[in-house]
Amino acid sequence: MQTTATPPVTLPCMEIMFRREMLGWIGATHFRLDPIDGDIPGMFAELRCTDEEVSLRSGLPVPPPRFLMLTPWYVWQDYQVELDDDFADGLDIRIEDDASLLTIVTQRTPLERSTVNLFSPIVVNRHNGLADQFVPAASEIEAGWRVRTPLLPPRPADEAGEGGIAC
Amino acid sequence: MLTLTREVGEKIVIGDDVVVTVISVSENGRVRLGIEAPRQIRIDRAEVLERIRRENLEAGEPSDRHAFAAYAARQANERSGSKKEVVVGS
Repeated sequence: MQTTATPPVTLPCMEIMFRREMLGWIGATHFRLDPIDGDIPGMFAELRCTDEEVSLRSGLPVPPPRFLMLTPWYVWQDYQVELDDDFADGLDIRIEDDASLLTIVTQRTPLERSTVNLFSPIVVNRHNGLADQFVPAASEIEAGWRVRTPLLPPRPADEAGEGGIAC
Repeated sequence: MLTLTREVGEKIVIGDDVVVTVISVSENGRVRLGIEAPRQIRIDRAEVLERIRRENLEAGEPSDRHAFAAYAARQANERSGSKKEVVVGS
């Protein structure tokens, strides 16, 4: 199933339940999505884990994580992913309109090094809040979307050739 | 680690319901595998999962998300006439 990030894409404040814990965060399956008001309402939201016991792979307990989520359409109008049937079925997604795509922003310093994970979006069933992170079978090159896609334009000094994102 | 030798077309079975078949082996050493498993079992390339895991970990670190979102939205507004430029270099 091909899923396109076309409007209306903005999700309201809602509870989100991951089918399996978010990669990297052991025990993180329950989240709350809160849209962030701003110059462009709907562009960003905060995804906050509500599980009390979250740990790293090492077993180290950590505070429940929070993520800055971008609705990718606001920057990449041609963004789309092709969900395989098993993945869509697992979220009870029957038609394209059932799904909303959210992408995770990684903030860095300086801000221009911040990136968006367009390769592996969070897919949410907008009706029941069931979600999962989609991992394409294709490689980043084949998929055409990268794990670290720059969000902000490079500063003028970077355009001379020092720009780019270290991977 | 258990090590098994298999030929093209042969299978191994993991547990009760995971079957791995060797589809082909190319001259340059590439191995194609077919995997049958229940839907709830995650099957991904290890290096891809590790890259996403690391990115998720970094993305979840504490930061001022609201301030960043406001800044990024302003940037997007300023470039609204030429949004495609955002993807340059991606």
